[in-house]
Amino acid sequence: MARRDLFTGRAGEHAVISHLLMRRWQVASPEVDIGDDLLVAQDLARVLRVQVKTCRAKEQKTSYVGQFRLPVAQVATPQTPELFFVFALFRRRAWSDFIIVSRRTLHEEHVLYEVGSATGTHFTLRIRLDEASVRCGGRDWSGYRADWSALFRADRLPPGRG
Amino acid sequence: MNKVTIYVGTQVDGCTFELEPASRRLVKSTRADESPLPRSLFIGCDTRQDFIRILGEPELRWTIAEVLSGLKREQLSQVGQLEWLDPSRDFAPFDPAVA
Repeated sequence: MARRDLFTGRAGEHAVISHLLMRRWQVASPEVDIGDDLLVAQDLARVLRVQVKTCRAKEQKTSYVGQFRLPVAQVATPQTPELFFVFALFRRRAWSDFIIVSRRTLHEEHVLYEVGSATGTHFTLRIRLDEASVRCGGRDWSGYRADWSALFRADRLPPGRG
Repeated sequence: MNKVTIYVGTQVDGCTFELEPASRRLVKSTRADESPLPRSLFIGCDTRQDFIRILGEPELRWTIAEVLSGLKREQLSQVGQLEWLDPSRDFAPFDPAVA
């Protein structure tokens, strides 16, 4: 990986951490990266894994595009607690967009709707954005834009924990 | 014959089971009611030996498949052949002949 990409990746993680902390969620970063970038907790009973993917957006005529590469196995393998991906786009000298998708949803999008082009052990996501919409592989991903509440949605809590 | 694939994610304290998305859609299409299905199932194990012994039991594996699919064994057998796969290692964690 190029040095510039390493710096972009780490900066993206910190941008994500900032958003999580502003929601008063605890964030921990493993000392050694062996798959999960961050552990995020609402309380001790609710912990999630977060993987941050970053890129510099490429300008198009009326939109901009972010391209991300992911290991197929990481997306396909069920995990407890669940893993969420945050796709962070750097554009015009700022972090412009965060797309939050659970591993499970991403896997469904890939298998059922052929989102992402697979090449061996990895597949590539190409996310196209403009002011009003987010699209990936022909699918409308607008609902995932800055959807931080997806991490700890109240209606996912079991009875008595809301 | 169709395959009903169950993905297995192993970790230090047990393993998580989940229907592969296309299999989940297939299973849903065969169910008479629209009651929700569990998204995944976690079984905790203390040691690797426990994991092998507990999940080596065909009866328990059928139970896992029934819980995830909401179908009885006989119904599941008609939908497709059960397949268990660990996608992180691309191998079947159990003897397929037993499943």
